[in-house]
Amino acid sequence: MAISFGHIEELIALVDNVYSFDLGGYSRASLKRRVSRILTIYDIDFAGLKYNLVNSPGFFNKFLIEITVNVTEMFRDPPFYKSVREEICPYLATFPHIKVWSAGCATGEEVYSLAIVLSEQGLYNRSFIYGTDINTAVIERAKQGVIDLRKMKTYSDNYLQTEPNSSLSGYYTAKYDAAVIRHELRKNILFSTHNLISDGVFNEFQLITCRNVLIYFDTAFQYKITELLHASLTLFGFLCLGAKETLASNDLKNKFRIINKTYNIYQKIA
Amino acid sequence: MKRLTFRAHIYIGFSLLIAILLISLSYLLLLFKQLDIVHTTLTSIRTTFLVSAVLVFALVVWLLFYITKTFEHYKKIALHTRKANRDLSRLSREKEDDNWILNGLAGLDDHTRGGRSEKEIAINAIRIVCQHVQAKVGMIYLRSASSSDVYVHAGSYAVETPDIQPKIITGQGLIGESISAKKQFVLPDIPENYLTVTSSLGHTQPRNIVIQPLVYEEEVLGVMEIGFFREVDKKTLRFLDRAGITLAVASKVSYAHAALTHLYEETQQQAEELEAQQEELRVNQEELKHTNLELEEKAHLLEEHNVSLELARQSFAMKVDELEQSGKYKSEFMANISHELRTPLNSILILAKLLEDNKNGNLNAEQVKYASVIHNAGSDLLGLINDILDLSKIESGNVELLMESIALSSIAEDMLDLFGSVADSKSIDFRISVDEGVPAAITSDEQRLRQILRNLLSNAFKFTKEEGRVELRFTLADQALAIAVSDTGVGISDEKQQLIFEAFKQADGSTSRQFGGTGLGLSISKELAALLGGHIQLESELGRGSTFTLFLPLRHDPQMADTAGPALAQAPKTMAVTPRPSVTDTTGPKRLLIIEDDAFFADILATYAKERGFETLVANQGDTGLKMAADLRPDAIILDIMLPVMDGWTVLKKLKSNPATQNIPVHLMSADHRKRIDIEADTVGFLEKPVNKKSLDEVFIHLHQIIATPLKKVLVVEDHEIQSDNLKDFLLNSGVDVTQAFTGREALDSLESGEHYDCIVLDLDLPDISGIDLLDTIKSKPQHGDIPVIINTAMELTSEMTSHILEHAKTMVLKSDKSNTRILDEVHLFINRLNDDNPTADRLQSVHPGSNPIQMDDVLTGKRILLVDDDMRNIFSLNMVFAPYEMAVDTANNGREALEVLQSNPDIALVLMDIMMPEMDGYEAIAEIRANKKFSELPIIAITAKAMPDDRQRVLDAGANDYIAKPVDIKKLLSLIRVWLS
Amino acid sequence: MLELSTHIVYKLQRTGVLVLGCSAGGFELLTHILQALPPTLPYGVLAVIHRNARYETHLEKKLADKCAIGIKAAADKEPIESATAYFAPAGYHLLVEPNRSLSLDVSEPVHFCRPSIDVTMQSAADVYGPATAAILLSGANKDGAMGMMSIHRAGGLCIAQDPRYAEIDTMPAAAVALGGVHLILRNDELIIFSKQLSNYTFRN
Repeated sequence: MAISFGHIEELIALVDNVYSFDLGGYSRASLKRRVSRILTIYDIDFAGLKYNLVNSPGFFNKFLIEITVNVTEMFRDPPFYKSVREEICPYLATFPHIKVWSAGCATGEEVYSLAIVLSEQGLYNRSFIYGTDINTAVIERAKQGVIDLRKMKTYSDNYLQTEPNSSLSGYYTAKYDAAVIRHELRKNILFSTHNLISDGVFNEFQLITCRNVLIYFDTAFQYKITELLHASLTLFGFLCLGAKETLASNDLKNKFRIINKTYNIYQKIA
Repeated sequence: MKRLTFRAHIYIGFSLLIAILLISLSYLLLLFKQLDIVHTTLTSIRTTFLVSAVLVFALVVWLLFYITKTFEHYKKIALHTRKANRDLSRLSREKEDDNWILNGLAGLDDHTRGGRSEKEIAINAIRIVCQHVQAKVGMIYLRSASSSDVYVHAGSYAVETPDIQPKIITGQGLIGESISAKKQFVLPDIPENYLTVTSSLGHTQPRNIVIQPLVYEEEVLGVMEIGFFREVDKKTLRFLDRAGITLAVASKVSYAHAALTHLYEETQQQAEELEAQQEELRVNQEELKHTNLELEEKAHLLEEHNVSLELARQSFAMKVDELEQSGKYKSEFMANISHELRTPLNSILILAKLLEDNKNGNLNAEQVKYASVIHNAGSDLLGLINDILDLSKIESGNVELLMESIALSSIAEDMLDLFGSVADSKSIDFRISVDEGVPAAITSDEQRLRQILRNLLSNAFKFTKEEGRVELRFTLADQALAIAVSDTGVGISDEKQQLIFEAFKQADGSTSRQFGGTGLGLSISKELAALLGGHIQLESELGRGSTFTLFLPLRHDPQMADTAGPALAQAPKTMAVTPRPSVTDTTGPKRLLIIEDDAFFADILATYAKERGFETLVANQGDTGLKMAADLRPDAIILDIMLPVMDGWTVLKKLKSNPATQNIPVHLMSADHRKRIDIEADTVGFLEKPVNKKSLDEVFIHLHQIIATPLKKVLVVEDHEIQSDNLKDFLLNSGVDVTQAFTGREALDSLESGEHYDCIVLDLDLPDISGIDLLDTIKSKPQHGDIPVIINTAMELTSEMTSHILEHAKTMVLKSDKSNTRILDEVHLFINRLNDDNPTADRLQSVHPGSNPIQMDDVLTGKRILLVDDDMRNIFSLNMVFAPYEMAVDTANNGREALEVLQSNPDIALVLMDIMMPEMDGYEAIAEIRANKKFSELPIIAITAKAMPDDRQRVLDAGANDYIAKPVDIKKLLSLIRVWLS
Repeated sequence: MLELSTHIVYKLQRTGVLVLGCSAGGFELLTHILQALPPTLPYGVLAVIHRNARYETHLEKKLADKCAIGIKAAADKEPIESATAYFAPAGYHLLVEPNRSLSLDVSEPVHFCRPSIDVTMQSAADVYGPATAAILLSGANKDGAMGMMSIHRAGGLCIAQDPRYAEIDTMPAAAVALGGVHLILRNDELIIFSKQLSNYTFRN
C-alpha cells in the first residue's frame, strides 16, 4: 500500500475537482501519512480510495475525518496555560465582552481548558468561546463534552502543572468510564465547522488560539491563515500559536508584539 | 401376534382333546354293543371300562383344569412380557430422544466453546439450533453491554435482513415478556398478521413459534426465537430449554473471556506505554547525567582557573610591589632630579635677575623686559619644581617632621600678614576667628602647617571674586583642631571634589589655565595633613563657595598618619519625573543651543543642525550656556557634560529648576557611560562621545520629532484619587501629559478652558454626574465631538448600556490590574494614528459613497430591516452603510433575540442573518422564522463566513432566500437587498 | 580510518540526508557521533531521540557549543541545510517535505513515542529515496526497525549499533532481526565512521 507523492498530487486534484475542496496547501509529508493511514483503516489500495471518493457519496466525509489530525489534549503545554492565566487574562479583563476562538479545536479539549482558565479568573460569564474545526465528526464529539476517563489522569497532571488553585475533577462528573464536562462550563461555548482555508472572518475576537494547526500547511497557506486570524482579532487582542509555530518569518509579525516567546503568544498592535 | 397364536393353540388343543375323548367314548360304546354276546365277561369288562372311563374323565377334567391353569399362567406371563416389552420400547424411545437432545447440545457446545466472540457464538448457535430442530427460521438476541434491559440482534437463521428487529427491550412484546418471565414461550398456530407485530421474525410467517430465553443463574443473557412450519413436539421444546442454558453459559463465558482479553490487552498496552515513558525518562536522565559530567568538568576547569587566577594574583601582587618600589624610585629620582634641576635654574634666575637689574645700563628696555620674562618664567618653573619635589619627598617618605609647640595666635597673625594685602587689593572681606576652647598651642610641624594653610588660603583668594569673603576659623572638633578656610568663590562640583586632591588631575585644566598655579598645592596639602596625622575635608557647592577644613590631632600620634584621608560626602541625587516639554509656537526655524567647550565638535554640531533646518547658538562654557538658555529660550539644547566653569550636570540642574527653561528639551552628550542611568529620566536623549554620524542623525531626528509634535495631552476623568494618580504617573512616564478631573464638572471645565485634549479617559462612576450623561454632553458639543473617548470602568454594564456607550466612545476598558497598560495602548493608538481615523472602513470592502450614488426613489429608503449578528463591528459598520438611505435598522445579537424582535416588529421588510452566533445559530433561527407562517415570505439573506458550496446549500435549505459571503462586499449587499425588496 | 566495502562507499557517496535514531542508553554515543561529524559534512542530519516534553532540556544549546556541525531544534518548514543537525522537538513527529524542508506533526504517537524514529525515517526515505542514510542506536523498544526497513527498501543505507555493545540492545537488535541493516558497527567504529563522513563527496 505504499503511495508516492505523485499519488498525493493526484488525490489533491481529484478532491478539488469533485468536491471543490482545496487540499493544495496542506503539508505533503503529513498528508501522505494521513492518506496511508486511511488506506490501512479501510483496507483499500490507492485505486480503491479514488474509486470510493468518486463513487460512494458518503465516503468523502469519512475521508475528511481521517485526513486531519485530531489529536488534542486538555492543558497541552501547561506553561502556556499558566501564561494565559497570568499574562493574558488580566488584560482580557479590561474588555467588556471576551470572545475567544479556538481555531482547529478538534474534539474540544482546548476549548474546555480555556473555559476552565477563564472561569477561574472570574471572566467566564462575560466570555464566549467558539470552537471550530473543519472536521464535522470531531465537532460532534466536541459538542458532547465527553472525555475518556483514562485520559483524564494525564490531563489532571497537565492541569496541576499550571499551578492552579483547584482540582480538575471539579469540572467534570465521572460516568462509567467517561468524564462529562459540567454544564456550567459548557453554556458559553459554541462548536461549529469552519474551514480556515476557504471560510472567512466570522466575528471579532479578543483571544484566538490556533495551536498546532499551522504546521499542517505550507508557508503560503500558513500566511493566508494568519491573515485571517489577524483580521479576526480586535486591536490588542491576543493570538496564541503552537509551541513550534512562530510569526518570526511571517510578514505579519510587525502587526503583533510578542507576549511570550516560548509559547508564541502575540498581541495585535496594528 | 405371538400371544394370539399361543391362546389359539391352547383352545385348539383343548377342543381336539375333547373331540378325541368323545370319539373314543362313542367308539367304546359301539364296541360294547358288539360285545353283548359275551355279556358276563363283558360285565367285568364294562365295569372296568366304566372305571376307566371315569378315570379318563377325571383325567380329562384334571387335564382340562391344568390346561386352563397353565393357560392362565401363560396368559399372565404374556401380559407381563407385553408390559415389559412396552416399557422397554418406551425406554428405548426416550433414550433416543435424549440422545438427540444431547447430540444437539454437543454440537452447540462444540461451536460455542473456546475463545469465541459473542457474535460468533450467536451466529453459530442459531444456525446449529435451527438445523437441529429442523426449524425454518431463527433469531438470536444477546444482552447489550451497555444496558441490561436491551437485547441486541446477534444472529439469525434464514431470516431476510429487512425482517430483523434490531433490538428487544425487556417486558416489551412477546420476546420481551419471555425475557422478564425467564420462561420458554410456545406460540402454536399463529394467526397470520399477529406475528408481524409482535415477533422479530416479521414477514416470514411460520405456524408455530418458540421463544427461548437464555437463562443462567436467574440471569437472562439472551433470547432465541425459533419458527416452525410443523407441530413442535416435546423433545424439541426440551432441547431448546437445554440449549438456552448452554448458550447462556457460553455467552457468559465469552463475555468474561472478552472482558479478560480486553483487560489483558489494556494491561499490556499500559505496560508498553509505561515502558515507553520510562524510556523517555531514561533518555532525559542520560542527558542530565551528561550535563552533570559537564558540570563536573566545568568545576574542574574552574578549579584550574582558580589556580591560575591565584598565580596571576601572586604575580600581580609582585607587580604591585615592584610598582611601589618603582614609585619609590621615581620619587627618589624626582627628588634627586629636582635638586639637579634647581641648581642650574637658580643660576639662571640669579643671572636673569642681574640682567633685569641692568646695573651696567648696557641693555635696552626690550632686553630688560626679556630678562624679566626669563626671570618670571624661571620663578614659575622653580615653584613647580619645588612642588614636585615636595610631593615626591612626601610620597617617598623622605620628609622629616619637626614637632614642636606652635602658638596658634602666631599662625593666625602670619596669615593675616600674608594675605591682608591681597584681600585689600581684591576688596575681599578676610576674617580670622578663633572659637572658645581652642587651645593656645598645639604640637605639630609648624613649617608644614603654615604650608597647608598658605595653600588653602591662596586658593580661596584665587577663586573668590571681588567683594567676596574669605574666612580662616579655628574650632575644636571632637579630639581635633579644625582649621577651616571658607570662601565665597566659584565652588567645586561633586564630581570634581574627588579629583582636586589628586596630583596632576585637578578636575579641570581650565581652572589652572584661568587662575594660574601648578595645581599641585592641594595634593601636597593633603599629603602633608596626612603626615601630620590629620586630614582635609571639603564642603562645596558650585557657585556658592568652598570650605576646606584641616583637622589636626590635638596630640600628634604618628601612627594615625597612615589611616586618615579625605572623607567626602556625596549627596544622593533625586530627580523628579517631568513630562516632555511642549513647544507651542511652531512657526519659523527652530533654534538650537549647543553648549560644548570643544570648539571643533561644536562646529560639527552646528553645521549638522543648520543642514537640518535649525538656527544654532553656541556656548563654550557652562555658565554662558545657561545664561543664553535663560535669555534666548532656544527650542532645544545639546549639552556637553565636561564644561569649563560650570559643568553640564549643573547646567542641566539649573535649566530644569528654572521655570523659564525647564520645558526646553535637552539632549545630553558625554563620554561618561556610567552616569547614563541617572539622567535618562531627565533628558530627552543621551548622546555618547565619540559621536558617529549615525547617532548624530538619530539625535536630530529625535529632536525634530519632539519639537514638531506638540506633547499629547490626555484628560483623565476619574473620581478615585489614587487610581487617577496611578494612571497619571503611568501615562506621564510614557511621555503623555495628563490633566486630572475628579468630577464631571471638573472635566467639563477642563474641556471648556480651551486646552486641547487628544484623548479623554473617562470613568463612568462619577460623584456628580453619570459618566454616560457626561459622555453624551461631551459628544453633543461640536468642538469636542472629535476627541476620542476611552471608557475606563469597573461597573457591570448591560448590553444596552454598552451599545449606547460604544456609539460615542471609541473603546471600553474594564478596570483590572492590567487596565493601565491597555489604556496606554489605546491612548498611543489614537495619538499615533494620524490619518486613519476610520478603522471600520478597511473591514468593509469598497465603501465609496461616490461610486454608489443614493437615489431618492431608492427602494431602500425608509425600509425597516433586521440585522442579526453578534459581532459589534459588523453591526456598526453595516449601520453606517444603511444610514444614508434612511433605513430603520433593528439589531439582534443572536437567533433568539432576532425572533423576539421580529414578533414585536411586523413591519420588518428583510432580515440579514449571521450564521455563527451564540445561543441560537443562524440555521436554527432561519428555520424557526420559517416555521411561523406569518414570516414565510419574509426575505432572509444569510451572511456567512463559509465558502464551501454545501455550506451555502445548508443556508438555503434552512430557508434563507440568499446568502452573501464575509467579508461583506457592500455594493453587492446593497444590490442584493434591492433585489429582495423590490 | 574504517575500511568500507565499495557497496557502502557507493551509498555514502550519494547520501543526501542522515537520520540518527536513539533512545535509552544511546545518548552518550549520540553526542559523540555528533561531535565527530565534520563541519564539511555535505548534507543535513535529522536526530530523533525519545524524549518527553515534560522535562525541560537545553540539549540543542549544549551540543551546539561542542559540535563542529550546527545543532538546532527543528523548526516547522525550515529548509534542511548541510552540516546541520536538526533535533525532533519533544511532543512532535519530524517529517520531511518533498521540497526538502522540515515539517512538524502532532498526530498519534507511534510505539507510544512522539517523536518516533520510524516516522522520521519513513518520511526521509519518501523524499530522499536511495540518498537516505540512517544510524540506529541503543533503545528499549522497537521504534526504528520499520523505518530502517523503509530506507532499505528505498535503496538507502542503514547502519545499526552493534547490539552486543549497546546498553540496551532491543532497538538495534529489532532492526537487525527485521533484516533492513547493511552495516553493524561497534561504538568506537561508529565514531570513526562519523569522522570520515565528509570523505565521500562524489556526487552524481
